[in-house]
Amino acid sequence: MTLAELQTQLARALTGHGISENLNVANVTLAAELLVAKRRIEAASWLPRTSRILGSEFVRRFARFAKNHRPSGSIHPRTDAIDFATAIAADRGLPRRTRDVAAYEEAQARAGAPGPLFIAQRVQTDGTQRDDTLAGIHLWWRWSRRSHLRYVHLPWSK
Amino acid sequence: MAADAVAAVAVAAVTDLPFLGAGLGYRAPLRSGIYQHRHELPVLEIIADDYLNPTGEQRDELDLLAAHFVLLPHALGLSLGSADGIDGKYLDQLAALIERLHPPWWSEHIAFTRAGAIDIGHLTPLPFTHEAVDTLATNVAKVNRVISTPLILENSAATFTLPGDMDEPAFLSAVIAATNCGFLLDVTNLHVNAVNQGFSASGALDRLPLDHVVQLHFTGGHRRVDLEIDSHAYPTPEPVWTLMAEICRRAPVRAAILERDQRLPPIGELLDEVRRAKALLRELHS
Repeated sequence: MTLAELQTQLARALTGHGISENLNVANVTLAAELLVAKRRIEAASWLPRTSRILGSEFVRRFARFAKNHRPSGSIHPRTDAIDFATAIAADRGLPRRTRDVAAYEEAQARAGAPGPLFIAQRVQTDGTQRDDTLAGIHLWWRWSRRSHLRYVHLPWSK
Repeated sequence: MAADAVAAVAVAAVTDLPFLGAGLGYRAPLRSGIYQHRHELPVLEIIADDYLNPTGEQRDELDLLAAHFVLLPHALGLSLGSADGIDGKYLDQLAALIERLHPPWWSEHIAFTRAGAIDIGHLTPLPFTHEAVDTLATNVAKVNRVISTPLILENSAATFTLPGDMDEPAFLSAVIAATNCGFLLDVTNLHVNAVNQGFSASGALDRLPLDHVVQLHFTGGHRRVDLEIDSHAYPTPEPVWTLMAEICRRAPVRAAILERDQRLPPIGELLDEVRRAKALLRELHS
């Protein structure tokens, strides 16, 4: 097997695209699990509130997400986190607040990336949180693609 | 030029590099502690990939860091071991970053992260083969045509090994000889691989290209099932300190960097480790 063939088979095995019969390497499955764990830890650092709200469910849900969300191009931790937050925000089986927090952190991560000029995100509240500092409208913007990120939070009036 | 003469030139180049001492891998959550203790941290290593397409805030952050510290760019995604070759866009962005910072050297891994259309997003070990050595040499030569700042190459940790023609010390020696680069010896990776693969790390030192060592990395990992994992999540363990002391006695080390990425403790705990590394380096220069 050439180096190119071996590397392609390893890349597929490590990213959940399946282990080839020709690839006889012990511990590749463990290495793939470690890679998912690394992605999860990095995603949690981009999505700290979502991670806190979901608790151990974050681990289970990320494992499921990683199984179906296989990197085909570059797998930058921020884009991985954004894609995961998008999936959480769209999951109607989760409480509204959890989805809102994920949507907020998704918007925050998008705003911090180079490129976007304007992002707005509405965060609602179900009234059950004692310290619901996120509720309201969040705006991120730049005056130009090279200028600094600005941010304002417009809380709901009581 | 004969091979021995090339090696002599490379070794001379290593000792010509400035002595920087012990420092820390820069991580944003540590920012305030790092600035408070900047007199103890002459050198920081930054993850180059975080600044390849910088926002305005990141450019300011880099400028401020560069005003207070020597910065060493540490790349993760150049994929020097890829049989597919080098990603030209990544290389150009890296070259722009290095041009901006003017570091004394920069570093990448002896590994691959990309194959075919798949970016693994993680350092993946190479088979210890002559084909892999040749691939690295070809890719490094291409990089050196674009970036003139000295490149040093780091040994990687591996949770699995691939069939090969040689063992790890022989492979690393062949890579350093073929690429004519300096060596970034990650002491923790050496320890982790020795434990997982059942060889003696201190014995391996006799066969590693210690005269090419420019920089060290050190940190602590954790154990999972029956494997040591290089997770950068715990304090540096004693066997790694013992190895470091031995390496500092035998190699022309110019800098040692503590790499901590997970479970970040208070800055004081990290500084204790940096001070211990500094003491080892001081012995080297006493």
